[in-house]
Amino acid sequence: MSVQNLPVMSRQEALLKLAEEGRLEALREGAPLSFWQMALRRLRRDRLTMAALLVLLLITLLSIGARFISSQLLGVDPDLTQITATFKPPSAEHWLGTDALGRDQLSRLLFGGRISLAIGFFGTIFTAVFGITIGISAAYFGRRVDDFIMWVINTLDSIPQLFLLLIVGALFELSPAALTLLFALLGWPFISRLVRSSVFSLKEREYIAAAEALGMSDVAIMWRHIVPNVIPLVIVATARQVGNLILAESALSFLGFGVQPPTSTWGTMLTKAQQFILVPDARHLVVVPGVMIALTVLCLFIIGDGLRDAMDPRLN
Amino acid sequence: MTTYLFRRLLQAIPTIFGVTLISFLIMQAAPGDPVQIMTFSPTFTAADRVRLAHELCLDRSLPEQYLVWLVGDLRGECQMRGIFRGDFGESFFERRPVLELFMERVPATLELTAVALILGGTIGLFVGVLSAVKRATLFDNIARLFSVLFDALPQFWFGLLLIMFFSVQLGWLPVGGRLPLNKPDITLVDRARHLAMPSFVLAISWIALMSRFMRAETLEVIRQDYVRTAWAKGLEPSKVYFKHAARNALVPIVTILGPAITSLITGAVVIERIFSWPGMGRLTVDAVSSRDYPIVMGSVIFGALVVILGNLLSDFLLVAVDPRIRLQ
Repeated sequence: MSVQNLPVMSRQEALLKLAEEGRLEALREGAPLSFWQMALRRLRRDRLTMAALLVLLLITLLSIGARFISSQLLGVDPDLTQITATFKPPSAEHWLGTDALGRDQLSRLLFGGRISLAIGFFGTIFTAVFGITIGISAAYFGRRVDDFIMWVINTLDSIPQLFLLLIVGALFELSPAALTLLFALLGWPFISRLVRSSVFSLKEREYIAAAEALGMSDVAIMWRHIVPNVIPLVIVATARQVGNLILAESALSFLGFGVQPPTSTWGTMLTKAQQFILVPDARHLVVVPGVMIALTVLCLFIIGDGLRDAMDPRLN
Repeated sequence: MTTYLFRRLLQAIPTIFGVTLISFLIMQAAPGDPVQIMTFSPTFTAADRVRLAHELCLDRSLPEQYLVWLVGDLRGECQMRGIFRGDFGESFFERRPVLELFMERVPATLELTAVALILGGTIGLFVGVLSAVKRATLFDNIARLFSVLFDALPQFWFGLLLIMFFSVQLGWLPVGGRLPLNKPDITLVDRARHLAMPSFVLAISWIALMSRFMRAETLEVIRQDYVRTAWAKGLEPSKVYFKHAARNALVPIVTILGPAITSLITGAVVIERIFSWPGMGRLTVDAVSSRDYPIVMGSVIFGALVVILGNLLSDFLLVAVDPRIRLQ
């Protein structure tokens, strides 16, 4: 049964009938694409972004499979120290050489990638969740709560983040999980600021008034109508955050206040890098982890910029 | 204009208050009692400790301690004059006023950041304008690649690579350090050689930001009528681009000055450490390592003040350069 063949019935009636029968998908053909479908289509056409995505996927898979790859394929233990084989240059046995304690650099790099990537990804997710929740609360409760939240945001925004990270890192030896949480606790303001102002304007839209008129509760309106509209904004705003956090972690670890040994991250692998630049045999220990960080962050930034281009409604 | 200026200044007050509160709370949360740290030698008796605690007002309640730390002891019983009256306390280890230590270090950081700001600004400006003019050419693509790459490099690592190459390998530039200003036999070339690497490394993210910004702004501007007029007058391309287009493209740059200042002072913390540059950043990192809390708290407040002032300056300049903008 198609719309055309229906007997004496207006088009509107026909649609209603079809909808009642649960067959509305019959109308989908030729229907306009949703926001997400359009974004995905644009993203797929962006070759640079797709290439970066591929490289990042490879790095992620190698890191996730670190245990299998080092024990089965490379036959090395990342924590095994060998006093007789320190500062070895890359060889068939150790593809990327060994470090100051004779540990295999490649396997340490893979294991380190797990922590570095996890800190970046989860740190960003928590940042976004905190940012959205606090931003919506500010706009929703308004007045005193809003004033208080804005005060906290302005205050946190004025203190250079690295200072706070250094201090907290020095006072409490941070585990990777604690560092992730700390990044989120310090990083949410810029998202909240964005979400807050967009909720203020969304609140005035007709469909929100319609939802209110239908008797939806405030929480339901927030969840069903506000949050979905805020998500694209947040994705665009946070697109580069994963890379930024990986960079922050590496700088913090380089200064000695990040993740503490023996846990290795790409940042902690560079902790002693400053001493190594003077040792000709140890240069691979400076170059390799840095290249890994730079490559990963570069991919993340390209993907971030690609996502922004695909989703930013102003660019349509 | 004056009202706006005044209101913005007023708005900064609660923020500064919040910054001091955070600094104070951090010091409270820090393990270790200041009196214990300062009286570590066996020559101090228990009575000395009580006296010292009283002199520093550390025997009061927490809110009272905070107030004393801010504005000094109004009852005049202890020595603290408060940070608002310029007393940031005394360094635990150097036994000198924190403010005095800051004053010694500020010129070095100022020198480094100012050179980085000018160097990065100039490079970024030219690259950005050329990128826009030569849009979609090889130059443009390479410039855009570098602008992402300069953001993605860990700055400290880039600095180490430069040292490895230019100092250790080639021996062209010194590994680090800063030359004193008051020695007459030090030439400008010597100073420049010491400044070259740290200022360039500090500048890279600013170069990236500036070139992206100038590219976008110039693309916007070269479509305008007055640029067409400039062409029609028969001006040389360099005059059209740099005298007419770039000048107007530069106006909105004041909006990124605030973020740029923040990123420069954050970058300085790491870069001063690598290049043994005796500035505020190194003082802060050293103080954090040795848990010299008065310096740490002072640095947080100092850093925040620079950021707040940078943002204020950015806002004021925006109103000053563009009379159409009237911020509410």
